[in-house]
Amino acid sequence: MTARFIAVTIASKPYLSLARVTARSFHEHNPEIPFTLVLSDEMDGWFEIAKEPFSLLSVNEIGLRQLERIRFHYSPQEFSYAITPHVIDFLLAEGWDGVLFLKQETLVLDTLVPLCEALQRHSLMLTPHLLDPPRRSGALRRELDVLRAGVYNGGVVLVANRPESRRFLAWWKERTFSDCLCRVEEGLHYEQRWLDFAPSLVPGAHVIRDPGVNVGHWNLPERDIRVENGRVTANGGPCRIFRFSGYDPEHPERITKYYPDRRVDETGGAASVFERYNRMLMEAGYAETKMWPYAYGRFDNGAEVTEAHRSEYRRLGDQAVRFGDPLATSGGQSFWNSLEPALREDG
Amino acid sequence: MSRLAIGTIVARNYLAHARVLAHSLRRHHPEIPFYVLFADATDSERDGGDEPFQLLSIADLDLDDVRSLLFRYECKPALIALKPTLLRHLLGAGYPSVLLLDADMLVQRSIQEALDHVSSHALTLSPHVGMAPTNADRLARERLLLMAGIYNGGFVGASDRPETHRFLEWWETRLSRHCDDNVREGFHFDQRWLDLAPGFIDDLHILRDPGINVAYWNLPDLELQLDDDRLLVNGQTCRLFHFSGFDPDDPGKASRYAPDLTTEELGPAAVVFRQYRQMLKDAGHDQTKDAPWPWDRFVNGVEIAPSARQAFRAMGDESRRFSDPFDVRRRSFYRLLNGQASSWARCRRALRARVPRLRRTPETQKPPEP
Repeated sequence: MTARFIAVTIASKPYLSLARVTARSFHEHNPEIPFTLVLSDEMDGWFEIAKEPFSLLSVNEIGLRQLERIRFHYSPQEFSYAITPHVIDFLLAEGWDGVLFLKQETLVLDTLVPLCEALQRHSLMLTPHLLDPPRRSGALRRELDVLRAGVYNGGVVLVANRPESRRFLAWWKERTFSDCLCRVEEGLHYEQRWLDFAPSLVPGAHVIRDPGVNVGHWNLPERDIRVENGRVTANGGPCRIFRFSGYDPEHPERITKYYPDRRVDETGGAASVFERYNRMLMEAGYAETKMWPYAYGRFDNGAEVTEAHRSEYRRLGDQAVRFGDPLATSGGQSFWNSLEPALREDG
Repeated sequence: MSRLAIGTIVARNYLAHARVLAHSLRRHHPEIPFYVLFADATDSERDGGDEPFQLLSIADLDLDDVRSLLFRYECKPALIALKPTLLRHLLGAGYPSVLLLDADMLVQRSIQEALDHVSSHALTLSPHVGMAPTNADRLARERLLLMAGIYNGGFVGASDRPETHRFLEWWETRLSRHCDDNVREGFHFDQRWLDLAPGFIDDLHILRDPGINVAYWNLPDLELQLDDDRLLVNGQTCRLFHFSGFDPDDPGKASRYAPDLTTEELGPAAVVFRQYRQMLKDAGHDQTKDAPWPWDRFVNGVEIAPSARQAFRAMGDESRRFSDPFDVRRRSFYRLLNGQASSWARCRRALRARVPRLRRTPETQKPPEP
């Protein structure tokens, strides 16, 4: 393989252990492909990059326009989602031939070389949540959940460096700049629902219909997961990417917080993959990193940024630019000082 | 037998649209059979006559419980819900490929290239926009598409393959119960279900030809030119125009779904709307446009109130007790609604539980939460 690929994930400091697990599992099976983390946060001396299993890019380095605005506009989770197209496009602009974007809660279980090879023939590769009409119980419910959240999963997005995919990323960036929110009644679900447009907007877009790529709570009932001699298979083929969307290692009996009734011990062979993931998270310092502070979560006077602050700020639209960095509280022109007194407590 | 058939579905109020589409197809594709599922045709009309298409009636379809479907929905969603059924019917009749079109379309030039795609793929869909919208209200328009569906339900091509049949059976099942506008829940008539097709179908083709399925949702992005009487969109020949939401009695508006878009601002396309309006008139639209939908009434002529439809749907599988919901005899749904079926305690409980205040304020209640 002569083309140069890079894998990337996005995380804030409290989720650093998840990014470590993703990176380590990726390296184990794909030692020839570099892996980088875009920190949607400030490092502030909490960890040493030399000891980490990834190279590091700061969110300040990826050419994000109006960074001070967008990191306040969104909650930590929304922010990490919103910058996905920016991160991918930045790496392509740096000259990589293809970018493998993996969301932070991922376990790579096999080589991704076949995906890289396919990416040389396509502009963009996406994985749909469902590969067949689900037949097991709750089929209708799950289909509707997918229709509201997005047909394609935003956790695995593979993009080749081609004009048509760069045009799509420019479009996706514009959408996630303002509309990376969860408002299903208006057709929005973070960065993900916008991907529904991709196959019709991007010539050469490819839908990956491989049951072993991007296994998650949404398709587990249709996946026969087996572990033999340490190798994980899905429906008889290699299981390459397993995703732990909504998995809480402090509730290891549950698959995901999105379906609290679904239990890990009912997933057959997948149960041991969940156990393995849980072990890796603990070894990667889950308990420690989850206590690390999110740098954009407080005003510079120490007051916590709440959803009420963010929503007030979003309401201002482009006018919000006049405040400069909304986290800076000093001065008569600050966003803080423009707030109603009720929103200016515990400063 | 032809390798491909085309079909559409109408009630009498759209009969003129079907005739216009039939004439335009005959002109450009005389060899292709065109079937119209004329849902409320009378017995004498069913025997054929001089329509420019092959007429199918609901009785021709292989559909269990068709009367329940017609009771559950009003006219428009009922016709939409029959799309997968018609596709299955025509595939079952032996056509290797079938293209389903909305009746309010006009073939302006040969659509052979699109038909070739339909013939060579398991499923062929037409996206509302094949390139990113560029005008000022692009975000608002895209959000409407996220709510309404990426692919247009007015152009669905299907070929006789196992994966297509699996898909059509699933789609038919979904539309039998979930063919409404319910964005909050995640569906919008037939269309949002189609968004799942690229996951379900391996051999899916997305038609990105700007000259196919030209309509109000993509017209604002297209560069329009008139070359003699040929409309060009982005330099390509406009082949298949879709007059979705166009009301010939309100001809200044391109579509009732985009009230701010006037036909005049569409420049060269305005003439297409004018011509289409005239074609509809020539095809007798004024005589049929107000035709009542016969399935809006119980067999005794009493109109079916929206609340009655909602109550029937809210009963879920309980509604299967009523083999013919239009019936008014003993043990009928009609009697139950009117409080004359006290022995049907279970149904009454189901009704009361899911549709509170049904009988007190039948016209004003909100639909039940699914």
